[in-house]
Amino acid sequence: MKRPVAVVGVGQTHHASRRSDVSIAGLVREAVDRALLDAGLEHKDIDAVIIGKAPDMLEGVAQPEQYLVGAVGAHMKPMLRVHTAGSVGASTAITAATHVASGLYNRVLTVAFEKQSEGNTMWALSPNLPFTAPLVAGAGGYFAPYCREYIARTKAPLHIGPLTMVYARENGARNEYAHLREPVTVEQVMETPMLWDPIRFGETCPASDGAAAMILACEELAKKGPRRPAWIKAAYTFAEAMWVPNRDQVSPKAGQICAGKVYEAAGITDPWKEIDTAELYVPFSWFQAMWLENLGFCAEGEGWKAIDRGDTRFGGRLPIDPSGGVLCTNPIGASGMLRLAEAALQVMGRAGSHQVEGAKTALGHAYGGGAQYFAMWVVSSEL
Amino acid sequence: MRLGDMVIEPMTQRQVMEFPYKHSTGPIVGRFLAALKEQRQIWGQRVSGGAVIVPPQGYSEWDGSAGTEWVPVEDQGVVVAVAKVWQPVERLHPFPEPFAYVLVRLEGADTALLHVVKTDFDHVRIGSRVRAEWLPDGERRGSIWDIREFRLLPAA
Repeated sequence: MKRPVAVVGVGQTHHASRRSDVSIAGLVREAVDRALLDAGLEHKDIDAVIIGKAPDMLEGVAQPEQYLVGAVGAHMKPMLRVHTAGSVGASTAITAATHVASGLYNRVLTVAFEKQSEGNTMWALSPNLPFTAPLVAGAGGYFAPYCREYIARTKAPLHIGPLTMVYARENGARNEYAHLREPVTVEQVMETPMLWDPIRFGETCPASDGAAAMILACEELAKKGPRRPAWIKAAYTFAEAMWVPNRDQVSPKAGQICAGKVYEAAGITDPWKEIDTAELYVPFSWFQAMWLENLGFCAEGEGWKAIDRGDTRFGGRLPIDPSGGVLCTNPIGASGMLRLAEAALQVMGRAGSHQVEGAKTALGHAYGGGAQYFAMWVVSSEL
Repeated sequence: MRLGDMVIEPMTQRQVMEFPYKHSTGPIVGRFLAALKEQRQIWGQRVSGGAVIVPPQGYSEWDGSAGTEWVPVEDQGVVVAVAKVWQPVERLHPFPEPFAYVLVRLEGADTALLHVVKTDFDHVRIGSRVRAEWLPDGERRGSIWDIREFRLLPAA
C-alpha cells in the first residue's frame, strides 16, 4: 500500500436460496445501506464506487452496473466494474483499496453481489464454447478431478472432506447472515449423493442470493471513527493462464505467488503462527485442505492433517472460515468480498457470535475461474 | 486460409444460446406493476429534491437516497421522444407489425416512461399528447403490457 488504507464500514445482506423479496438493485442497496450505516456515513461522503459481480449470464442482465449507477450512489462519481469470475468480490475490494492507496480518493464504497435464483448457474457456467466439445461440467465437475488428485497425492483419508463441511456448518450456525445454518455430522454428509466424485452434495456450497459492501478510507478519515478500523496491511491479485503446459491446479502457482507477496508486504514470515484466522474461498470441502498448503499454512501433504487434528475448527489453532465460509453461503460475485469483509470484522473485533477470540491479524482469500484468479488481503487491528 | 495445397474459405460455427430467466421485482417495481393490474393506476415515487420518478426505482438516481412518498400520476401525457420501427426484427421487437417507441412524460411525473404507440403511429411526433389504452379487467397480469399502447389524443 502506497499509503495506509482501512476498512471503516462493513455491510452484508441475509443470504438465502431465493431473495425473491428484493430486486437486484434492492439486494445491492441492502448491503450498501448497511455498510454506510456501519461507517456512520452517507452517499455524499463517498468519493468513488467500485462494483463487482460474477458473469452476467448468471442473472441474464447484461452490464448490470450500468443500471445500478444510481442505486449505489455513483451519479457524478468515478465508478468501475470489476470482472474476475468467482474471485471478483475480492478483486473488487482490492481495486477499491488501491484507489485509496493511490491517493486519488479518500473514501471508496465497494460492493459485490449475486442473485443466483434469477437464472441457473450450472447453465451459465457451462457455455457451449465454440470449436470444442460441450463439457456441461459446472464448477463441481470442473474442480472434482483436482480434489481427486489431491487425495491421491497426499493419501488423505476420505472423511476429511465431510469433516471440513461439519466444521463449516458449525460456524455457519453462529453467523446470523449465513445461508446454511443447520449443523451436520460426518455420517450425514457421507450419506448425501455423490455428485462429482469425490464431492458429495453435502460437500458443495449452496447457490445463494446475497450482496456484500465495504467502505475503505485513508488513514486520516479512518482515524475519525466511529469504529475501530481494520487496517489493510497488504493486498494483491494474480492470474494464471488456462492452458499453460504443466499447470498444477491442485496447488496453482499464481495462488502461491499471491500469498507470498501478501505475506512479504504484511511482514509475515510464518503464516501458521502469525495469522490468527483466515477466510478462505472453499466452494467444495476438499479445497480447504488444498488451500492450506497452497497458501503456505501447511507443508505439502499436511493440510488435511491440520483439519483432522481440529486445528481449523472454531476454537482451534487456526480457525478457518469462522463465518461458515463459501460452504455455507455462496452468492458467487459477493463471496470473495465476504471473505475479505469477514477477515476485517475479525480484526475489528466485531464478528459477533463467530468472533475468533483475540484475532489481530487475518487473511481474506478468493479464487476464481479455472483456479486462475487469486485475490487476497491481510488485515490487522494495528496500523 | 490454407491447408497444405488447399484454399479454405473463412469458416464460422453456429451457436444458439437460450435460457429463461426470472427476475424478482422487489417491493417498489412490484407495487408499480401490481397497481397497473389491480387499479389501472400508474404510480410514481417522490425522491430527494421533490421529483416524481415513473416508473419508480425506490431510490434517487441523483444521490442514492431512498424514495419517499408514492404519488399517483395521470395515464396521459406528452411524447418527449419517438423512434419509429418500420421493419420490426422477428423475436426481438415486441410486435411483428410496424409501431413507434415513445418516451411519455405523464402528467404529474418528472421522468418519461418508455412505451409504444401502435394505432396511427406514423402520426406521432415529439409534443404529441397520448393516453394509455388499458387491457380490460381480467386480462391485466401486473406487467408493463397491461397498457396495450398509448394512443394519440386530438391536439388541444
